[in-house]
Amino acid sequence: MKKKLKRNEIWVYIILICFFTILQNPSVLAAKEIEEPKVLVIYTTKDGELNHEQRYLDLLISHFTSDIQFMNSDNVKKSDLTTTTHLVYFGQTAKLLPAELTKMMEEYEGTILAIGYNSEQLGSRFAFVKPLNEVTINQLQKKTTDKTLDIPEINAVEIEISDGTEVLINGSMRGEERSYPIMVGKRESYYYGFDNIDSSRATLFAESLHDVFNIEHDEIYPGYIRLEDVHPLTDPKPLKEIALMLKEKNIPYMVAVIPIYINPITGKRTTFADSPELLKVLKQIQKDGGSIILHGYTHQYRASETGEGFEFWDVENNSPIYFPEHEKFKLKELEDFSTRDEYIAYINELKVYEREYTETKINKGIDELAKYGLYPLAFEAPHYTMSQYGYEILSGYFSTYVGQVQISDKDWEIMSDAPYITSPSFLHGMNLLPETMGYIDPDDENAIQNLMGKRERIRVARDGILSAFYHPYLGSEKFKELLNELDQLTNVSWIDLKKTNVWVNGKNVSIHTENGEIITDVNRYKIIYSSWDALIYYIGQIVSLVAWILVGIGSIAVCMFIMFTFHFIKKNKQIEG
Amino acid sequence: MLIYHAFLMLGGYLHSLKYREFKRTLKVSKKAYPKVSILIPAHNEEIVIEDTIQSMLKINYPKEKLEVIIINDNSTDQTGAIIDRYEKEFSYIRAVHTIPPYAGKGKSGALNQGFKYSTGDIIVVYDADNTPEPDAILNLALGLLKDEKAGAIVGKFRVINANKNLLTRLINIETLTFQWLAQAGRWFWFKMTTIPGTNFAIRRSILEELGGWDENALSEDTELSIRVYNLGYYIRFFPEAVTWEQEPEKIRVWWRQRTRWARGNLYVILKYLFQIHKLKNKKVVIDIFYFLFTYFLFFSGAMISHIIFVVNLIYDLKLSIGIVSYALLITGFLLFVTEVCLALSMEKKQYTTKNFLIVLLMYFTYSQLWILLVVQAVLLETKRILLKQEVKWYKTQRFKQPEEKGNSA
Repeated sequence: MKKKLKRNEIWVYIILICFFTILQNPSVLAAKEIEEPKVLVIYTTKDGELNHEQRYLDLLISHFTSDIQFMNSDNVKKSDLTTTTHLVYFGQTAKLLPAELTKMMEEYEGTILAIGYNSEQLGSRFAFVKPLNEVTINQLQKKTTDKTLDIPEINAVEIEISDGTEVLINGSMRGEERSYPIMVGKRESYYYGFDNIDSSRATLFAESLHDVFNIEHDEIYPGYIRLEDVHPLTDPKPLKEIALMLKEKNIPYMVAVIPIYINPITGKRTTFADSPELLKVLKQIQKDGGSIILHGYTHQYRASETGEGFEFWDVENNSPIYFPEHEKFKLKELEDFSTRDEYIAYINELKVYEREYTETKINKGIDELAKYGLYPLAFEAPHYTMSQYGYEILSGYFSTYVGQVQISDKDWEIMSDAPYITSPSFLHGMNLLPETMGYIDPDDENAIQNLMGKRERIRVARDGILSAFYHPYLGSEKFKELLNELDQLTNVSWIDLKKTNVWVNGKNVSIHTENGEIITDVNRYKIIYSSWDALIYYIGQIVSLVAWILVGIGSIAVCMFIMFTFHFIKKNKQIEG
Repeated sequence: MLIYHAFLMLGGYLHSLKYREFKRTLKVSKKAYPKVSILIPAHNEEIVIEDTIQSMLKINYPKEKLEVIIINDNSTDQTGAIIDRYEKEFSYIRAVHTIPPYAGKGKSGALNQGFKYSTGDIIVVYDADNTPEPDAILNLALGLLKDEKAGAIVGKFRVINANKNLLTRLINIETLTFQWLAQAGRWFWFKMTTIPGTNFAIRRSILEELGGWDENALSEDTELSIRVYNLGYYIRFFPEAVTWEQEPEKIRVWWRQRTRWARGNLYVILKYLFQIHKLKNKKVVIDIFYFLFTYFLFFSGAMISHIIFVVNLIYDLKLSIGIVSYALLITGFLLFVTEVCLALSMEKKQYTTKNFLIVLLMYFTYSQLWILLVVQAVLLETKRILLKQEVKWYKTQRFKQPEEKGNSA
C-alpha cells in the first residue's frame, strides 16, 4: 500500500514538473504570442484604386504581420473575412458603402480599426464614435504616456467620448490645456480620426497600433549608420578613417556601394579594378563591422553622373523605365485607349522591358561587387526610386531593402520612410530598414543638430528606428562629430546585417548570412573570367604578390651577400696581415 | 632571374669555401700522371703568341708527359715563323700549319686540326693570348684523373690587363662575377659548368666519341659543353687552375667579340631548343632555358620596361606603378651590386673602393650595353637564317675582324 502511494506520488511530480516546464519555457509561450495577425484592409478611394495612402498604411501595419490583404470596399465578400483576425477600414473619401459591408462589419468578431471617413456606415460597433466640431490642433499626445508629437497645424474633428471609450491619442494646441480625442477605442473597435496617414503624424499612430494589435514590443530602438554613395572614384582615405572610428566604437554599419562609375561627359567607366586602394578599404570594412549594400549598378540612366542620376526610374517621363535610354518615347495614358484592357495590355508589354532592364542591372551590380570579393547583403535603389513592379522584381534577388520607398507609380516624389522596421506587402517579402534621421547636408551649418533633433519624434514609437546616412567625401572630421552624437543615444541596438538573416540570390551569386558570417556561392567562371577588368585585376594582384615575394627573397640574399663579402674581406686582410 | 642569380651566387660562395678540399685529394705519384696535349689555336697572333709560348715553358708538369701543339690557322703575319722557331728549340712543342681547304675554318676547325696531331690522353685548350700559371696544367690534368665522372674540367681565368682602362676594369669585374656566379654557382648546385673556350681539359676519349668540335658553331665551347653532358659526364669547375688572359682594350673589339658570343649562344639555343626531348642529360635543359630566358624573355622584358620608361619621360602615361615595382628595381640593383662585390671579395686585392664605385656605375652603363648587343646579335642571326648563310658566313666574319685576337673566353 505504501509502495503504491509512492508510485502515485512520483507520477504527480512528473506531471507537475512537465507542466511547469511548459509554462516556463519561453518558446512555448512565445509560439502562442507569435501567432501572426491576419489583416484585411478595406479601402474606399475616389477612383477605387489603391494609392500611396494605402501603401503607407501597409508600411505601418506590416510591422506586425506579413499577412495583409487590401480590398476595395465595393468588392468585399463575407468569405474574405472568415480567416482574418484584424480588419482595417480606411475611408479616404466619403462614399456610400455597400449595405452588405455594414452587415459584415457588424457581425465581425475580431478587432476593427477604422480610419477617416464613413465610420458611421460601419454599424453599431462604431456607434461610440460621435463626431463633434472641427478643431485646430498642432500637437498630439498619447494618452497613457507622456509621449507628445508636434505636427503642422491641422483641422481635426473632435470625437465625443461615451462611457467605456478609451482615448489613445489626444490632439491639442501647444501650450493650451484643452485637448480633443483623435484616436479612440472601445473594446475591440478603434477609430483614428484623420483621413490620411501623413508621415508627420505617423509615429504616434504607429505606436498606438501596438495597442490595436495587442503586441507588446520592447522599448529598444534599432539603428543604423550608412555610408552613402561609395563608388570606384571615392577617395579611400576618409572612408578608411571613418571605418576605423566605427570599429573603435564597435558600432556595426552599412556602406552603400555603386560598383561602376561612369563619367557623364566622357562616358569612361571606372571599376574597382582601377581603385585597388579603395577596394582594400572596402574589404576590410566587410571583414570588420561593415556590411555592403548594393546601391544600383551605375546610379544612372541616360547620361548623368554616377551618384547623381536615377537608375530605376525615368525622371524625364516620370514613369518606370519602359524603354532603352536613347530611344524617343512618349508614354500613352489610359485615355489614349478605347478600353481599359487594351491599356493594361500595353503596360504589360512595357513591363517586359522593365523586368529585363531591372534584372540586368541588379545581376550586373551583384556580379560586379562579387568579382572583387564584396558581397552585398541588401539593396538601396538610387534616390530610393523604383516602381512597384521594380520592387516585385527586386524581391526575387534581395531579402532586405534599405532606405526610403517610393509608394506611387505616378510620381517618384511620393516616397516615404516608415517609423520602424517593417515588411510591407508591396515589397513582396523584403524586410525594409527605413531611413528616419536623414543625412548631413554640407550646405547646412546645423545639419548635425537637425539630424539629431529628429530622435525624439522617432522615439515616440516604442521600437522606432534611428537611422542616418553620411557621405564619406565630406571627410572624417564631420563624421566624428556626428558619431559622437549618435553614440550618446541610449537604448539603441545598432543593426549588424551579418547577424540578421539576410539572403541575396543573383543569377551567378548567392549570398546568405549564418551566425554572423557571410556565406557565398559564386559562379566564378561567369563573373570573373567573362570580363577583362576583373581578370586583369586578379592577375595584377598575383603578379604583385609574386613581386613582393621576390623582393623579400632578394633582400635576404642581399643581406647574406653583404655578410659573405665582409667575411672574405676580413679573411683576406688576415692573410695579408 | 634575380632569384636564380642570387641562388647561383650563393652556390659560388659555398664552392669557394669548398673547392680546396678537392685540391687536397690530388696527390698522385708522378708516374701516374696522364699524358697531356695542349692545343693553342692561333690566327694572326704575332703580338701575343710569344708570351703564351713563354708561359708554356714555365709549366710545372713532367715534360715527357706533355706536348704543346700550336695551330697556325691560316695566319698572314709572323705567327707561323715564331711557332716554328720554338718548335725547333723545344722537343715537346709542335707546330701545326693548317692547309686549305682545312685552313681558316675558325677556332673549331683549327682545334680539330690540332687534335689530329695530338697524342695525349687529356687535351687542354688555351687561347693564344693566355698565360697560364705554372700549376694550371697540373691542376686540370690531375683533377680529371681523380674525378672519373668529369668529362672535362674548367679552370679560372683572370684578366692580365685589368688595370689598363675603364673597359678592361669592367671586363675584369664581369669575368670574376661570371665565373663565381655562373660557373661556380652552377657547378655547386647542378654539377654543371660551361666550357669557356680556354683553360680547360677534356678527355681524349670523349672528343673522339663526339667527333671533335662543331665547325658551324660560333661559340664552339658552349656547344661542346652540351654534348659532353649529353654523354652523361659532367664538367667540373676548379678555380685552382688559373690562367691570365688579355681582354679587349677598345670598345669596338669588345663589341665584335661579344656579338660573336651572343650569336653563338643563340645558335646553341636554336640548335637544341627543338630537340630538348632528345637530350639525355636533363640538366642541360636548365641551361638552355637559362639562355632562352636571358636572350629572349628577360631581354624583351627589359626592352619593354625601357621603352615605357622613356615614353613616360616624354608623355605622362598615367601609369599607376605600385611601390612594388620600385621595390623590385631597388632590390634588383642591390642584388647586382652585392653579388658582384661578393665575387670581387673572393679574389685578393680586387675588392677596392675604386672597383666598388665602378660596380655602381656598371649597372647603368656596361650592363645596359648588353641589351644593345643582344639586339644586334638577334638581327644578325635572323639575317643568317633568312638568307641561309649557314656555311659561308663564319669565314667572312673572320676576315672582317682584323683586330680580333681570337680570345674567346
